[in-house]
Amino acid sequence: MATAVRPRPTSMMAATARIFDLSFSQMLWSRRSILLALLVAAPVALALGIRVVSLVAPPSVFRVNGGVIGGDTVFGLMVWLLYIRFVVPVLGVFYGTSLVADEVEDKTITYLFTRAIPRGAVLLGKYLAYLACTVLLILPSLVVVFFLLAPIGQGSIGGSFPQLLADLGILAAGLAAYGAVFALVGARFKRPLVAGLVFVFGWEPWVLFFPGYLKQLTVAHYLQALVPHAMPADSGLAGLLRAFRTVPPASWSLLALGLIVVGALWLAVRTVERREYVLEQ
Amino acid sequence: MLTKTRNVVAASAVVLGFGLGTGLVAYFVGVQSTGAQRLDDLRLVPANVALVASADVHAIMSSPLRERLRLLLPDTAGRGQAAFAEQTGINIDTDIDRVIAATGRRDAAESGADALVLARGRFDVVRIEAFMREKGGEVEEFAGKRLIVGRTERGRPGLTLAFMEPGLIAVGSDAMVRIAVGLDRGGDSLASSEEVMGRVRALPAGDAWVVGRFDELMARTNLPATVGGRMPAVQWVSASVDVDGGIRGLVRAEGRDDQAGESLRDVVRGVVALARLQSGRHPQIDAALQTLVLGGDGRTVDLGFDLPADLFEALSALHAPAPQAQ
Repeated sequence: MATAVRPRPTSMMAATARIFDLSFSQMLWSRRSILLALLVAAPVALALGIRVVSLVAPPSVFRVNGGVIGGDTVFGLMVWLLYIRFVVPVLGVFYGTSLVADEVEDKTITYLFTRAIPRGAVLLGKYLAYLACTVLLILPSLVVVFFLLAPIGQGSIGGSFPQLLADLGILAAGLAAYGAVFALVGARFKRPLVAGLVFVFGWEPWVLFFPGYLKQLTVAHYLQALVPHAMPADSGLAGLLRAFRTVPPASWSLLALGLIVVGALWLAVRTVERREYVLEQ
Repeated sequence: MLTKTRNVVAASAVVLGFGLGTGLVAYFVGVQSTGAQRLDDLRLVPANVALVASADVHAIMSSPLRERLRLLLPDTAGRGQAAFAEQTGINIDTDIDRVIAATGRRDAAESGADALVLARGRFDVVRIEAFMREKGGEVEEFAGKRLIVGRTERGRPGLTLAFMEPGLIAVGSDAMVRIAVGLDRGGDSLASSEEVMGRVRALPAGDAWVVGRFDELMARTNLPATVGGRMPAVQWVSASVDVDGGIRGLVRAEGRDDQAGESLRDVVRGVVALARLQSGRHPQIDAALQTLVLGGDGRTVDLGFDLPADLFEALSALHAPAPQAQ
């Protein structure tokens, strides 16, 4: 009598690696990559424009409060306002929320869940693919922007290089933290994109204005504490932020970001393993 | 993995690797050349000065702390620089990279009239010369250098300026500038004084440093005998500060012997304790005092400090005018 042979379940690590391998190319060449390409190219184009202006225009073009600002200051502003406040959260929302939600929407999650692999590995593999995909494109974009902007005025590539290293680390930490949070949102909520956008463009900027502990429930609070550049403070918004500012130490911020990544991923894996995803017919 | 995916990964790795490699080389080359040049300019300073100081003006002016202060106090920062630029044609923000200042030459005819400043940067030679001529300065050649000698006003000698080489000017008393010009051809300069250079090298790296013969400087200030007699027997003082997001640094004093060093440590310890007692009502000042670290042994006393940027913001808020009542 023939006996049914059940395939031996793959280990969590091996399964995660398989899913990563499968998802990485899919993610890189998906329609969503148009957004990624735009977010990568826009700062480079802007930096190129600034560099061209700096070459043809007089130095007085780059003045703040009577003082000429160097390329390293312009670079710091771009890192702060463009990458940390916009590019990183937006990528986290769009990619993080789609890790599970896309499979549910396309009704393909069944194919993954019926394989002999832990369900959590599907989420972990896809999360790592997201991280690799975004880090591999955003960090080189930042390096190109740095080389375009740093030499402007009295700025120097060598002098600003430690700042670049810090910025690269901060962007990687931001992508990891936002991706983990929105992977959890995507695994738990039915309309994750809306929830993610509300979190990034509603909750985070709003809560940073208020004194008290609420800002500790954001990712931006810990990311901003790591930024080595001076915060642009010539606006009413910045004045308010400074008045209510309680910046945690860098070590505490790193610890908090690590806890956010581990905690959010653990909850997301737990959710995926326990939840029954009902596919709409 | 698809071939086109592999290509993207490879391209990304190349851009990152090339960027980081180039940045790393630029960083180390920059650090080495800056350090060498900073000490190299000391060859133009006479060996017998009592005080020498150096500042990396560019690093300080472009530091995050300075950016914060400029945004907090835009008017005061802008006005002073604009006035200086108007008078000399030199924009501190953009034109000066580094300065070295020295004073207290032992064989000077009178104290206070023997200062020398060596400034490296980008200078509008024509504008500076025109400005000094307008003020009555006279141009002359000295040892192959172009000197502009300032006019004496109310019995006080004017400043003399020499264009030492492209990007380097010497400004100061006439005698000191002429000595600097002479030293450009060789001679007994501060760079060959091991007692000063050893102390400069012993300081932690920073954006600014100062080394001075404390006893000689005190002798020039003509302190009353009652005050001078009570001062601990300090021979040398040196300090180094690094300006970044805040200011951290080290002040070092050297007594004549171990006993003088011990006395000085007691004095500093007492002053710090008294200041901490008095600062109870101002938590910002108290926080600054908490960063003070007293150290050193034998005849040396070290006082380290680390003042965060928040302290300066808090202090500027303390001194800001109160909003007027409606």
